[in-house]
Amino acid sequence: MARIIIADDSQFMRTLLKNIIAKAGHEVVGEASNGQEAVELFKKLNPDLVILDIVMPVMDGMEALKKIMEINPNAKVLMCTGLGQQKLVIQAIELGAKGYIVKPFQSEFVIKEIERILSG
Amino acid sequence: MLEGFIEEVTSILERISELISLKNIKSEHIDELFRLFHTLKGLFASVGFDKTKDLIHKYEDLLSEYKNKKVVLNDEDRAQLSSIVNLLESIVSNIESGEEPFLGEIEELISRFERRMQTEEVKEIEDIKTQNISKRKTSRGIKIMIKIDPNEVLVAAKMLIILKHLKDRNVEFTLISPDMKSIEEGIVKERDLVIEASREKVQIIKDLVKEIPGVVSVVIEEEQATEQKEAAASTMQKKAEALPKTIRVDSEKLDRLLSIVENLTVLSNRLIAIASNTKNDDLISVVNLISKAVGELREEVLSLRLIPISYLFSKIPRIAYDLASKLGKKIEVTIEGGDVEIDKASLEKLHDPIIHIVRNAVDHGIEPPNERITKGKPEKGRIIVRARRSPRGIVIEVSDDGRGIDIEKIKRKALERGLVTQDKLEKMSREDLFSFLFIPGFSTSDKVTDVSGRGVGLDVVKNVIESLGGYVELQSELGKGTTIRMVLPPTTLIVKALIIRSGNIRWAIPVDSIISIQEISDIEVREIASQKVVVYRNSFVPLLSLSRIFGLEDENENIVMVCGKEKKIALRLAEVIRHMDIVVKPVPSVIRGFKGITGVTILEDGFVAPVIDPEALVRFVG
Repeated sequence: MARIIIADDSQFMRTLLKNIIAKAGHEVVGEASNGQEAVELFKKLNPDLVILDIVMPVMDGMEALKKIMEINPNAKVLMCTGLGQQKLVIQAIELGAKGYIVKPFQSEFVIKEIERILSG
Repeated sequence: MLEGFIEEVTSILERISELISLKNIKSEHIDELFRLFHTLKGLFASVGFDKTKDLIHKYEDLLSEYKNKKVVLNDEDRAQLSSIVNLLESIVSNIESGEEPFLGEIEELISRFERRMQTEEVKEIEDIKTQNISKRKTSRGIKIMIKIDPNEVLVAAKMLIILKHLKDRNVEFTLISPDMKSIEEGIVKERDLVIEASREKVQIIKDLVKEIPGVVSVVIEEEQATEQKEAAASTMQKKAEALPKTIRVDSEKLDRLLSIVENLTVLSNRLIAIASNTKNDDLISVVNLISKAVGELREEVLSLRLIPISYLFSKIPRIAYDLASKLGKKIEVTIEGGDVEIDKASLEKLHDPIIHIVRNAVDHGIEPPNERITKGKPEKGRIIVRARRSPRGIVIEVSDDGRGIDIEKIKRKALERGLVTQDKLEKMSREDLFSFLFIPGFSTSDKVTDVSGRGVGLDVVKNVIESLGGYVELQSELGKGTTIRMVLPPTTLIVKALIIRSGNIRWAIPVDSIISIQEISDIEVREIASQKVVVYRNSFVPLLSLSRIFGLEDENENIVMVCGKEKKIALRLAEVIRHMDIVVKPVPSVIRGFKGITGVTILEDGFVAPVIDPEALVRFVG
C-alpha cells in the first residue's frame, strides 16, 4: 500500500481521486488545495507519490513540481490535467513528472498509471 | 457486423455535422474533428472501402495541419466538410450493395480537394513523409509500432511518457517517428509511435509498453498483418463489452408495453373510483399507492420511446449551409432545444417537413448577401430552428430574417386562382391570408428553383403535422422574415385535467389552461356583433358552449370557465365533475383535423372523453 498526497483546488476532484486511489488499495495521507500546501505536505510526509493538479491557486502545479523535484529529485509526481494542456504536460514531464492523468478521470486509466509509476 | 459499422459511422457523422455547424469552431473542435475523421478512416478501411478511406485520409491530414497551425475553419472548409459528410452518408446508406459505391463522386471530391491543396502549400508535409519512409527503409533492426489509444487526448505527452518509461528501464532503442522535436513541441500528427530496437529487446519493449495506460497495441514489423486482424477482432470485442449499456428493442415491443400500461392506468383509475365508494381507508390508501406506481411505470415506458429531437436537428445546419453555399448565400444557423424529447415515430414523420421548411427559408427567405447589405441587414442571414415544450405540446419553430412573405402577392394570387372574391379578401385577417399558403399548389414564388421545387409545399407540411394531431402556424412580415411554427400535441401524455360535462358528453380540459370557474349568474355577459362575450378583468372574452360548437344541445349550462393563455375563451358548461390525471391519446382519425380537440382520454368507467385545447377553440370565434 502506497502513501499518496493529492493536490487539487477542487474538493470534488479530490474526493473522486481519493475514491479511485482507495479502490486501488492505496492510502491518501495528505490533501492539499494548492501547490504551496502540497510542497509543505511533501516535506512533512515524504509520500510515495504526489498527484498534482496543474492549475491551482497560490502556487500552481508546475511550480510545486519544480519545488518538489528540488527537495527530492527522485520524487514520484503524477500530473493531473484538463484537455488542451499538452504543452504544460510535456514541460512537466521534462521537469521530472513521471506521468499524467486527464480529467475527467477514467479510474482504470488512473489506477494503471499509478501502478506504473509506483513500480518504476 | 455491418449494423455495428453503420451505427458507429452514423453517430460519428452526426457529431461531425454538429461540429461544423458550430458558430465558432475552436481548436479543440478541430482536434475532435481530426479524431473523428481518423476513426472514420479506420472504419471504412475495415470494410475494404479503400477509395473512401483515401478521401477521409486526405481530410484527416488537412485537419491535422489545421490543428498544428491553429488555423480556423472558414466557410469554404465547412462547405467542403459537409459535402463529405453528405457523401459518406449516401455511401453508408448504400452499403448493403457490398460494392464500394459512388466512386465517381469520391474521385471528384478528392480532386477538388487536391486542387485546393495546391494553392495552400501543404506540399511540405508530403516531403517530410517521404523522408520518413525512406529513412525507415535504410535503417536496420526491428521496427516496433506503438499504437496510442484513439481516445488519448495528449498524444505527444503520451509518446514522451512511453519513451521515458523505456529509457528509465534502460532499454536501448532508436526513435523513428515522429521526431523528438515535434513530440517535445507537442505537434505530432500521427498516433503511432515507431521505434526501432534489436531483435532480443522486442519482447521486453512489448511488455514494458503494455504497462502504460493509453497504449492500445504494439505492432512488430513482421506481425503487422496479423495484428490488423486482431485489431478488427478487438473492435468487435469492444462492441460486445459495450453491449450491456444499451439494448436495442423493437419499437413494436415498446408499443405493446405501452398499451398494456395504458390499460393498467385506466383500470387503476376505475379501482380508485370503486375503492373510494367503500370508505375502507386501508383499501383506499393501497389503491392510491398502486395508482401512483402505475403512473411512474407509465412515465418510464413513455420515456423509452422518446428520443431527443437533436437527431433531426443536427442534420439541419449542414443541409442549410450546403444549400446556402450552392446558392451563393451567407447564413448562420442556430439550433435551440435539441434536447427536447419526442416520440420516435413522430420524429421520423417530422423529418421531411422540417427539412423542407429550412430549405425554403434558405432558398426563398434569405436574400443574397449584397441585397441584404443594401437593405441594411447583416450580410449573413439568420435561421433559427427551435424546439420547446409547452402546455400545448411540443412547439417546433423555424424562423428566418429574410424577405418575409408579401401579403399583397398572396391576395393577387388568391384572386387569380379564384379562391376568393375581392369583397371577402378585404375582410380577411393576416392570419387568414397566410392560410392560403397551405393550399396545395399555392406558391408566391415567381421562380421555380430546383432547390425547393414546386408543388411540394406547405400543404405537405400541414398534412403531416395534422396527421400527428398538431397544427401549423405561420407569421411573416415583409422584409423582416418568416416564422413557421409547428405545434405537436403531447403524444400520449399524462395531463392534470378537469373532467366537465357539456351536453351529454364529458370532456377533459387541461388544468393549466384554466383561469377561473364561476356561476353564470356572477358574470357579466354581453353581446357584441352577435357574439356573446363575458367581461373578464376589463376585457371581453368570447363565450362559447362546447355542446353548441359540436352540435349538441344543452340549455342548462350555468357554469362559465375562462381558459387560455395568450388567447382567452370562456366556455359554458353544465357540470364540473372531478379533477384527475388523464392519459391523453392521439385523436382517432374520424375526428382528426378538428381543431380544438388535442386528443382523447379513457375515463375510469371506460367512456372516451375528448381532450380540449381551449386556445385552439378561439378559432371558432369569428
